[in-house]
Amino acid sequence: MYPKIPLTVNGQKQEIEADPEMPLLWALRDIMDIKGPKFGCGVAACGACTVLIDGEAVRSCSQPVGEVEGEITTIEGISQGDELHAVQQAWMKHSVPQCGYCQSGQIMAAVALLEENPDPSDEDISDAMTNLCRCGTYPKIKAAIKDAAQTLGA
Amino acid sequence: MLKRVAEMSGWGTPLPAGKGRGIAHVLSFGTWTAQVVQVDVTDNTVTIEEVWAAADPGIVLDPSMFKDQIMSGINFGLSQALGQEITWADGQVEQANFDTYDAMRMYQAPKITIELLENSPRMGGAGEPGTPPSTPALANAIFAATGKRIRQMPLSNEIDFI
Ligand code: FES
Ligand code: FES
Repeated sequence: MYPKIPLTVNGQKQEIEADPEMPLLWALRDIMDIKGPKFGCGVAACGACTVLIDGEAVRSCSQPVGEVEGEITTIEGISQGDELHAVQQAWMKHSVPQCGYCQSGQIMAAVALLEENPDPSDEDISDAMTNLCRCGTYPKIKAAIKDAAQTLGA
Repeated sequence: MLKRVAEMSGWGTPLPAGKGRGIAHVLSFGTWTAQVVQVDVTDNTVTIEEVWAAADPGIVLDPSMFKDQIMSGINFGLSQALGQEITWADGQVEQANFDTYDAMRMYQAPKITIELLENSPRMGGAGEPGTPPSTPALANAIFAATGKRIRQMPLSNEIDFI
C-alpha cells in the first residue's frame, strides 16, 4: 500500500495513492490522466515535462511527487474557460510549433518567465528559456514571448 | 538562388575583424537551397550570429509553413556542428539521452532570414533541404573569420561554440 499524497492540480484538490518517489510527471500522466506535460528525457535535460509549482517552472520528470509543496499548474490549467492564455494565443498567432512535442513545456516556461519578468529582453529570454526544441523553433518562440508580453502589459 | 542569397546577406561587403561569412548550396529532396552563415569569433569562441537562406522548390503551396520547415532544418543541421557525436565503447553507443547528445538551445539560435523562389519546374521538399548546406556554410564562415579549416563533424571538436 502506498501512502495518500494530497495535491492541488489546476485548482483542484485531490489525493492520490503513489510511491512518494514517483516522478510528478508520471503521477500527472498515468494516475491523474493529465497528458499536457510530455516525457522527453526523464533526466531534467529537455523541459518537455515543465509544469508550474506556485508559479515557478519545474521539470516534473525529476520532481518526486511526495515532495511537492505548492499548487501545481499544467498547460491544461492556464486558460480561463474557453479563453486561451495570452501566451497560448501568441503561440497560435506566430504558428510556433513544428512537431509540437516540446511546446507545452515551452509555453509553461514562457508563462513562468512573463510572470516574473513582464518585459523580457532577448537576453532575458535566452537565459530563462532553456527548454530543448529539437525542431529549432527558437526564433518563433522568442517572437511569441515578446508578443505575449505586449498583450499582457497592455 | 545564389545571387539572391548573396544579395540578402550583403555578401562581399566588408565585415569587422573576427567576423566571417560562409556560403554553401545543394540540391536536396528536389529543392535548390543556398545559405550564408555569419559568425563572430571572439576569444576563440564562435557565435553563430545570422543565417540567410534562399530556396527554390518550384511552386510553393504554403510559404509560411515552408519557411518554418527550412528554419527548422537549418537549426537541426547547426545542432550537429555544435556537438552531436555518436561514439562507441564495448559494442554500444555511448550517448543515450539529451544530457550526452544535446541540440541547439535558445541562447545559441541565430537570426534566420529565408526567401523562396519559384523557378524550379518540379516541386521539391521542405523538411530536409535546410539541413545539408547549414554546416558547410558554417565551416566556411569559421574559415573566413579565423583561417582555420575544419573538415570533421562535429565542428565543436576543433573549436568552441557559445
Ligand atoms: S522529460 Fe523532464 S526535462 Fe526532459
Ligand atoms: S516543435 Fe518539435 S521539438 Fe519543439
